[in-house]
Amino acid sequence: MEHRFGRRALLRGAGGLAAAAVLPSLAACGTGTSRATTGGGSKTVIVRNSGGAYGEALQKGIYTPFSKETGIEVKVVNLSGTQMLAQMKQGRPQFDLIDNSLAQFARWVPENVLEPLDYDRIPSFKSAKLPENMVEEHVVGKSYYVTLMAYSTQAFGNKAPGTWADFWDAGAFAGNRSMGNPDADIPELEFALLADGVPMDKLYPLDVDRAFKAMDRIRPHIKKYWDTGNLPGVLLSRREVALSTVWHGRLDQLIAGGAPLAYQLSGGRRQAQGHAIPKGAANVDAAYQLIDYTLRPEVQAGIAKFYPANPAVAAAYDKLTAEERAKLPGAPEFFDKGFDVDIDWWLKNESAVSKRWREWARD
Amino acid sequence: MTDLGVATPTVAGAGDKPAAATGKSLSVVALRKTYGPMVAVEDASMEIAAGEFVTFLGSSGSGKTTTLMMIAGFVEPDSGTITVGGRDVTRLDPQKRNLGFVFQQYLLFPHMTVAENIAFPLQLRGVPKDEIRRRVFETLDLVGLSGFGNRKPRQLSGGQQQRVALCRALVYRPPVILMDEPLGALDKKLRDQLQTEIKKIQRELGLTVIYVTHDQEEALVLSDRIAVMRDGRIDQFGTPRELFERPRTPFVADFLGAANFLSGRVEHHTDEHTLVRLDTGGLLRARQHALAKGAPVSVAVQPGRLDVCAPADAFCSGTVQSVTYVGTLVRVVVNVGANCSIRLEVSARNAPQVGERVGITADPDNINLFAAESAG
Amino acid sequence: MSVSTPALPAARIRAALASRRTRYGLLTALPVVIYLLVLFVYPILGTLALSLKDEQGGFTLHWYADTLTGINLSVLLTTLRISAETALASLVLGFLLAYAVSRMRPLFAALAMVLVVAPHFVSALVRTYGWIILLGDYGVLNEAMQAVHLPGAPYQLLYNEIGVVIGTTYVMLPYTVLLLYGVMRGVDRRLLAAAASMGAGRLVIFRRIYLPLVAPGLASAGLLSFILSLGYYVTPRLMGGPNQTMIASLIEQQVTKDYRWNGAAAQGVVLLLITFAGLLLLKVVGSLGASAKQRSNS
Repeated sequence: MEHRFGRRALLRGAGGLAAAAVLPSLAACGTGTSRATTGGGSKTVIVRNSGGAYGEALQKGIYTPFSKETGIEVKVVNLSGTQMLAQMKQGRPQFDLIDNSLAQFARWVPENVLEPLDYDRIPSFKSAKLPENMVEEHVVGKSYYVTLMAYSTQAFGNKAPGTWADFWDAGAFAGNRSMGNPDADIPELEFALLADGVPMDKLYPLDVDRAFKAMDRIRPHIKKYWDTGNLPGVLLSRREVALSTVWHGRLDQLIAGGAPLAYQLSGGRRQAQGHAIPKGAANVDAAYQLIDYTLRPEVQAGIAKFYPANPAVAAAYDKLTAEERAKLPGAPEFFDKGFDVDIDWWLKNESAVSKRWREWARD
Repeated sequence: MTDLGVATPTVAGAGDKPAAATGKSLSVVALRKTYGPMVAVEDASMEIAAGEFVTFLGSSGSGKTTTLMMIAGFVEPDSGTITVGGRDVTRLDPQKRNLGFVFQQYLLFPHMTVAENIAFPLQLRGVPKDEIRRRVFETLDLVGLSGFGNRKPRQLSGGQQQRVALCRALVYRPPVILMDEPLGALDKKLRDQLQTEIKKIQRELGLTVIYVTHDQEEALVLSDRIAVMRDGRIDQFGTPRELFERPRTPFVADFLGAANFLSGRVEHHTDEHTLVRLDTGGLLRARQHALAKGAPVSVAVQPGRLDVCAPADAFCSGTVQSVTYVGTLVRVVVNVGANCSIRLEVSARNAPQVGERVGITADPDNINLFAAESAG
Repeated sequence: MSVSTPALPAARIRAALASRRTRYGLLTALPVVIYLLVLFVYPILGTLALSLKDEQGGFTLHWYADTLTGINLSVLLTTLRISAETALASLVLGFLLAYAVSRMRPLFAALAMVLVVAPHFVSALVRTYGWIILLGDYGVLNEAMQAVHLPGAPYQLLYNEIGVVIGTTYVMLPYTVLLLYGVMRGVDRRLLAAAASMGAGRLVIFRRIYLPLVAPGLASAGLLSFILSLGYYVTPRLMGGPNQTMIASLIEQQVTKDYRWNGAAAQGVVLLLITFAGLLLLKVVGSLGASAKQRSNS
């Protein structure tokens, strides 16, 4: 954070001076050296992902075996959304393939910076049988990340919170809560509506007023709105809170280390993660090959062993043991108990809802 | 406390006895201070009368400043007592001793004006505002700096700053004012001028002052009495005249008068004098001294107490090596033997020629004898 | 530092010297000036232009109106409040720490400084965890206070303004300590002895001598903390709640999430103006104080 000389350090740095001065220079981030565009038989592909444990899982589960099989070298960059957009707008992206959430891609489609996909160049697509909402003109899904409920197994005796109504019930499940901040992800209005009794299949379009009214009720019990993925785990394990929403997977290391924490795999909000190719990419062929490789069931199952990224390819679950499947909210056992986020609705409403959330959250 | 305002202008030139002495007596008994194995001050004792100007004279490391700092309270003595006006202050913090201190580096408060600097000790003592104003004005007037009250210290010259520091130390009429080489940072001319001023003010106000310096001349000009210090001990404590004419140790003789030293043996005693056979061969008539016949002695005589004469009448003779005029006096160096020369200060009218062969004579009363083994 | 007395010829000579010095100074400063123009002034002008453009590129004050109303205004005020609190807290703590360090022997002083600065090189994740271990409901501090039955314990020291001020103060501490340490080392301790020699007790010496001597350092350290705090957002986010959102956080959010550069630019410009206002205020207060002193003396 403060010790790294990056964009954040600059923003934070010499007070308003830096904050003001850095803005235009950010715009210039895209002026990188343009890469020579090589032809079809390219031997390198540059993938952008968000790094961290997820990036490592991708490296082990996809990139390394992919290179071994095809001889194509995979290079990884971890650029932020803003940086990517700036580069793409200049027409000289320094990456060939983007691994990102479908919601993020949806915001870029109007900017006309993504290559329309030629599905014929993805042989395994047909057999993958992806859900409808994972197949777009510019984007092809590959996995889900799930926001769900987690709790301290010591906080409530033998009871375990099962539904969002339980999360909202500070009488039966006493203790502090933590929920997501719009800085981290789209506001968690769906959980409020579910807690308030809205059936899962009738969530969208969200009744925003009703959701905030429900949020009012839980607000006194919320100690911290988490803004980074690791925070729920820290808060739960230090007993600062007893219940929290969390990105599925973020507690795995703590649980493996003996922390008395558990996920509630039902009721999760699924958000699709996928691939897209930026306009002006240098190694389009290799990018397609990597997309294709990723959609093979055995590869999908492979990642799931390293990281709780829920495969989008249903057949992948057949390649996992029951024990492995029991940890995945995207597995058939839990799939119907969760819901997919409605990207279109959020695309239209996120800005207004986030703004309202910020006003709501301040006294 | 007596009133400073009354005491100021009236007594100028009133003689040795001040009209109203503000100073008190001070006594130091068997003061000792060590730093680890090093003895800084050993067995320092003295009685200082009210209104007296006393100087601690010595080279650096002689213990003079340490003694002063113990009196001020900045250094805690290992043993001994310090009494000011009958009050034992040995173990008191500096701020509770009510003494005045003038530092070599002035140490005026840079963020205060001159007037504020001088007012500061009065404010500490709860003196009413009007009186503070009056006394600050009077004190500044005393040192010829009226009208400088609104200046900041950095706008003053060194001499002016030290005058202000003096004001600040005496404005609250402390029973004793301590001065640690206050003129050490000033040039010669300014030093002479300020010496006169300090002496005048001390007389007029009847201040008890303890003054530290390594400059003999300054000590002689200022002091009622001088304590010559060496290696942490007081060698001699007396009036300038006593020290000059009756030095108790060769060190004192040398330090105050830059004495010539000659060695010899006691030849015999007469009723009035002791006769010394010098190593250079001559016979010297000196002041009576209870030294055994044949005992090795060291002879100390100040350059100013020597005169030139015909070689026949002299206790020793030699060739004039150099003659330097200093006003009405000349400094003469006479070579009296191998690697042995004698310095004289004689009236310019009696000045010999360089290369001339001259004799040297002295009044026996001005010749001091010391047992040779103590001539360190 | 002009002399107010009518020493006219001297003043004129001094002025002439000063101007020649100024010219020479400007010449040697040229590389720096160019550097600043290119890397500082130009981007600021760019930001300014951006903040005055509407979405079609026309002139508008909309972004400023937006910055100075509603939630944005309240965020701005929060920013000022937290920065002021941080400046105050880091001054008090920094003063105590710097004083202690300035009295240590050089070797220990250096060690103490390392201890003050070292934790800043720890990663954010570890530090988040560290703060919770220290300040959380089940943290070291609260457990200790509960153990001695302090009334009201455990206190909430995280995810509110107390938490933020603790965090930002901690981040600011090396700056204030270093700055004040330098000033304190520059204080001639013999001046304190001089004050003692004329009868001043410890408290008086501190108030009348020591404090005025380090006052310029205190003012600049306070202002530095204030200005640096204005641009903070990581720590407030880490240790505060929604009520402690700072303006830099808002700027970041607009740039990275909303892609609204114009609004962010307007907020940046406002922040910059506040910074300048702070500097100006310090200057004005300083000269006012000096002239008031002048008047009371004459």
